[in-house]
This record gives sequence, structure tokens and C-alpha cells, in this order.
Amino acid sequence: MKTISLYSIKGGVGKTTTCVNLAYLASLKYRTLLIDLDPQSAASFYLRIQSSKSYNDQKLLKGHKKISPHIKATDFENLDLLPSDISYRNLDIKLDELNKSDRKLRSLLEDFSSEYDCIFLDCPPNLTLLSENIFNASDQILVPIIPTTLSIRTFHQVSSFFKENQIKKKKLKPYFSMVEIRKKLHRDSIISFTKSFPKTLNVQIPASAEIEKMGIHQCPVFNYISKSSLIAQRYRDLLEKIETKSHKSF
Amino acid sequence: MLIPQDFPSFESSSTRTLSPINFHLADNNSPSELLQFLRNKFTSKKIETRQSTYHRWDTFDWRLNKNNLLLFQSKNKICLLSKEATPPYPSPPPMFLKSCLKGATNKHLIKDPNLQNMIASHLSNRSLLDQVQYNQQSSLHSIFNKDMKTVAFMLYHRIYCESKYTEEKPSLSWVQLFPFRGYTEALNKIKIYFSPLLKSELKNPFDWAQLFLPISLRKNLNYNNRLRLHLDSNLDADQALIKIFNQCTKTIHLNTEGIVADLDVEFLHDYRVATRRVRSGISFAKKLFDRDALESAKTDMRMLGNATNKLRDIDVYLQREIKIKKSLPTEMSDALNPFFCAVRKERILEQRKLKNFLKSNVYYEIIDRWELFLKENEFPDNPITNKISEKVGSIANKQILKALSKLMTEGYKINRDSPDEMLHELRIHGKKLRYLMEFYSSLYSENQVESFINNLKTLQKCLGKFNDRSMQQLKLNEYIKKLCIDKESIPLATAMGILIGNLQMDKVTLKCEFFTHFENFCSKNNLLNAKALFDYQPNS
Repeated sequence: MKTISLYSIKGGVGKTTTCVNLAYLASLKYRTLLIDLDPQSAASFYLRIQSSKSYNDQKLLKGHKKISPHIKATDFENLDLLPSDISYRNLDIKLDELNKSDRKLRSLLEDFSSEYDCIFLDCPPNLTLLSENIFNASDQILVPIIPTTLSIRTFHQVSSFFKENQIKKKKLKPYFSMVEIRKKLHRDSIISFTKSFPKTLNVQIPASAEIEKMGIHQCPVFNYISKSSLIAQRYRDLLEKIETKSHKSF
Repeated sequence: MLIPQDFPSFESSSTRTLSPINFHLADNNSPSELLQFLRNKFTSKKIETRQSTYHRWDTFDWRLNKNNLLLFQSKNKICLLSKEATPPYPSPPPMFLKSCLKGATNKHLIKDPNLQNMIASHLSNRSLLDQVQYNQQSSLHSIFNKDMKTVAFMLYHRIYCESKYTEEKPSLSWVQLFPFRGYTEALNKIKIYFSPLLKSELKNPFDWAQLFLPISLRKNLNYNNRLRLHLDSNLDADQALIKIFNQCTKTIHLNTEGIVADLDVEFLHDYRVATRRVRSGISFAKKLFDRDALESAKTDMRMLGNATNKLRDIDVYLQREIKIKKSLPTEMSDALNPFFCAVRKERILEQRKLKNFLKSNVYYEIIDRWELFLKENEFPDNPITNKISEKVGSIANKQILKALSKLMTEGYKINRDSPDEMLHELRIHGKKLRYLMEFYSSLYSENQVESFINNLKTLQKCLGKFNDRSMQQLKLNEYIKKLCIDKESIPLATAMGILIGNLQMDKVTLKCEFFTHFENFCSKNNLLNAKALFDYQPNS
């Protein structure tokens, strides 16, 4: 089982859209679970799923037995979702009360290894104890970067955090998101960032009204765009890169 | 995508859905009628429809069913359901047929040796027959909650049953609800909304199969070739006989195809019973119908009987093969193989001969003549003026009493030295009485007539066995006469000699038993019963 997280300190960079679309693509080949860790519940919204009334952050931390009944099948074969809940806003406090608090998520996810081939984590935009859990639990951390100064700056902040906390930096997989290639700033930023961080995934997800429409259609973008469109191709490329970086298939 | 299976599927084939809940619908409601009950709390969309056909196989007398086994076939797949299986149900063993199913023998249908053995142990000497065809129309619907999220699939099935043995096409509907993972609460609500239309929950495949029992061709667990007639004692005697003849004719038609395809020896047996009933009925019909027409029908029916005699004798012989061999010393049982091999070859020829006859113009003419006779007499244009107008209630008594007296008179003449022919003759008289009892049994008290018939049956069974042994002796003698005795054929000749001796001993035993059974038949109790039923007087 491989765990892939979509993470960024910055909001609005395309984490959730990428997470949903990648999870959908992965589900065409693998048994896939998407875990929505962001209390905003955007990933759950995109898949038309609400959490059960009885579900909360405490159930999440109690592990497989308590989590499993709250996992919901999406409308897509092989793709399940553990929806987010507003109580997740207190997850850091709850995690802090536990032993080995930065590794709790990792141990929770291990129990799902017989059910799923891959898990995608849609993460909230912050740098907290939950983020540390995510870093430790993930095999790869995809960081969407809009090719602008502020977005690149936040990546460097994460990178420094990894260094300071001795977390394997090679897990970090930045890629460019919401790219408007007609803008010079975007083009220049891509060139300079790739030079300074050569492990950047060579995939650029374009800024697109079609992707924004996921909020209207409430489904992965593949459900309403042509399979041969540029967006579809870029997401397929991104998944392929992740698979390659995983050395072997999920 | 979850799709309707060729077979009734009780397993979910989707990762999204949990094990389905299955319901029998009370009134064959359509999917739209059913979905209306969701009362705007849920919406739905039809995803796809599919048609499939499958067949249920069982023996002539439903032996698999009796053993709680159900064998379905769809195209080249076989599905065996067992009532004893406990959840989770084993997947049906899929197998592929290489040979044509037409005229299926057990081995043609089922290739897997394990399954073959399992089924064979229940079949004995019976063949599997295509009993009922199920035509299934299925439609798959998504059920959405208010967020337009699919919470369950509904798979609706309407099944029409068809059988070559009946013109009825009964149908039934059932529904499978496949809850999506995480949406059991929604499923419970759907179940509540549907509840007014749901008849029963089907918890396992066998429950599902049970639905079909009442609409199957022959009454399960109650198969026999007995006439099922209800006669009113005030019905005119000629019309009663026409009713009887019509039912026999239906049986003749029903079994012809099975004889031609050589599916099971029971087809011939039932066919012969029906023709004999007709012959017997004709002999009681004098003065009720036109004499010439009756004579012609009698000749025709005799011809049908004669055409089937030899094959039936061979069938009886072959059915006893194992017992016959066992009656010999172990080391000699294989010595009879050349003989049985010859009998089997002879059977092939006889079956072919009969098949040709049943497809010949001569045969069709006989049947046409007979059916014309029935039609003309059921709704006569020119009623016969000199025919007696008697009610069946009064004629039944007279005919039964006459046949009973004849049987008893002839039976009392038999002693230990009587020739075999006298027992054969008595058997014919017994059969006549038996047929009369079957024709008219609905006119009498069920319990009393059953008891009388049972006594008669016991006597007839003994006489039947005696007749079988005689025929077998005859056959062996014929074969021995043709046998060129040399060194190689000595074991066979010896075995046959022993067999003839054994058969003779059997006959002696059976003759002794006959006296006991006859005495029992003529017992005071049985005759008192006859008196109560038919107003029997000992001197009548």
C-alpha cells in the first residue's frame, strides 16, 4: 500500500482538485481510499459525500475498527472516501494528547493495507502536528506550486521544516499547478524553481475553468471533459510520475 | 459497473456495494411503480437493462429437487445450488460445455467429474431433462440521496417461465438492493418505503429458487403419471370417457418428443400407460360411441402398443442389469457382458425403429383419426340416436363390478400347477380393473378407494414381476438359440443357464407370493370395502 498526500501550507493552490482527480485515476487500476483531512470537506463535497452524524475526530484516532463503518463508497468503482468532519479542526489538540503523537496517522493507516492498494490524503493548508503526522505517514508528498513568488516561498518553508525536523526530504514532490503559460512570470518561475529544486515533477497542471467546474459537477474532472484533453493528459502524466517514483506499482 | 448476471446473482460484483438484500415482490410491480414509493426522499435513474435466459434441469421425477439441489444452466455455464450450503454461499462452479446439449445425457451437461459424481448419486438411472426455461428481464437503477450521491443500486428482475409441457407462462418479480458502503442507513429507509410491495425477503439462493416451485411444470415431489380428473357423477358417461381420453391423448403428445430424443425411458413408459388406458377405455365404451369408429380406434391403439412393446421390454431388462449380474456368483457376473452388449445394440435398433414410426405418416394418420374421433364426440353434430344415455356414476359401478368379478373368477382358477399364461391373463384383467379405478376414482370416497387401489396394486406388482421374469427367460432362450457354442462362449452360456434357473426360481417364489396377495385382495375387509364403494355382492 502506498500513501500519497497532497499538501501545501498555502490554500487555493489546487490540492483538493488534484487529490480527487488523481485518486479517481488511481482507482481505475488500484483499490483506492481518499481520506479528506481538511475540515473544509472540499474533497468530500466534490464526491457528494457527507460524513455520518456519529463520525468525528475521536473516531478517527481510535483506528480501523471505528473508522471503517464511516468509509463511504463513491460513485466510482474501487474508490472509497473517508469524509472529513468539522471536528477535525481540533485534531492537533487531540493528537498532542497521545504518545508518539507525530506517528499516530501512520499507524492508523497501516491497518488498511489489506483493503487498499493506495491511500490519498487531502490535507489542510497549515503546518501543525497533523502535518507532521501526514509527512511521516506518506510515501510521497505532492506539493502543488503556483509558479508565483508567494507559492514558491511556502514550498521553501516546508522544505526547511523537513530539514530541521530530519524528515526525509526526498518524499517532497513539488509540481506546478494552476499554470498560465502565457504569463511570463509563470514561465520564468518554473525555470528558476526547477533549477533550484531538480526533483520537481515535470508536470504542469494548467489553470482551467474546467477544473474549477468540479464544484458545479461535483465529480472528478474526467467525468465531463474529453479523455484526450490537455487537462486529462496532465493528470495522467502526474499519476505516472508518482508510480515511477514509487519504483514499483502501488 | 454492476451488471445483471446470467444467473440469479446473490453476490455483489462491485467494490462499491455490500451484499445485496433480495426481495420477492408481491404483485409483480414494475420498477417505476416500485420507485414511486421513495416519496421524493430519494431519486433514481435507470442505468441499463438486460435480458437473459436460463434453464432448470432435473430428472423426470425431480430427484435433484427432492435432494435439495437445483441445477441451472445458462449458455455454457452451470450453476448448482444446494439448500444445505450455509452463507457465504460457494460460488457456482462455472463450467464450459463442449458438446451439444440436445438430447443431453448427464455427462454432456456436466463436465466436472466431482459435480458429475455428486449429481449422479442422486439421479440413479434417470437422465437430466430441461424442465423449465426462465426468461429474465433485468434493469439496473441507481438510487440517489438529496446530494445526488448514489446510495444503492436496485436490480429489478421480472422472470417469465416457459415450458414445452404447458401453455401457461407464469411470471414473478424480485428485487435486489445493493447498498453502497457507508449507506446502510439510507438502505433501511428505502426498505421501509418499499415495504408495502415486498412479499418476503430471500435470504439465500434456495429461497429464491423456492419461488419457482409453484409455477414449475410438474408438481414437485408429487410426480406420478396418475390421471388427474374430477368427474361429476351426473356427467353423461360418453362425455366422461371423452374427458379421460383427452387427458390420455395429452400425455401421449407430452411424451412423444422424449421418446424420439431418447431422453429417458420413463417417457416411453408413460406413453404406453396412456395408450393402454385408451385401449382399456375403448373396451368399456361399447354402445356409447359409433361402433365402427371404436373398432378403428381399437386397432390403431393396438398398433401403438405393438410398436412400443419390444423397446419397453428391453428397457426393463436393462434397468435390471445390475441386479441380474448380482444374482450370479461374483466371478460370473462379467460373463454376461456380451449378452447385455447385444441387448443394448438391439435397443438402439428398436429405438430407431420406434422413432421412425413416431415420425411416420402412418403414425400421424392414427393420431389425426383419433383426435377427430374425440372432437366429433365431444361436440357431436349428429348425436348417435341409439346410444344409451347413462350417467357416469351408474356406469362406473357396473363396469368396475364386472371387471372385479372377472378378476376374482379367473384368480380363483389359478393353482400351483397353472401355466404361466393364466397369470399373464389375470394381470391383464387386473390392469383393466386398475384403469377403471383410475378413471372413476374421483366419484368415490378418496380414502376408501385408495385402500382398494393399494391392494390391487400389490397384487398387480407381483403379477408384473412374474411377467417380467417370463419375458426375460424368453429373451435369454432366444439368445442362447442363436449362440454358437464354442470355447469362448462357454462362460456366457453357463451364466445364462444359471440366470434362466434363477429366473425360474424367482417365478416359483412370485407364484407363492401371488396366492398370498390374491388372498389378501379377496379378504373380507377388502370385499367389504368393495361392497361399500361399488355395492359389490359376492355372487355378482
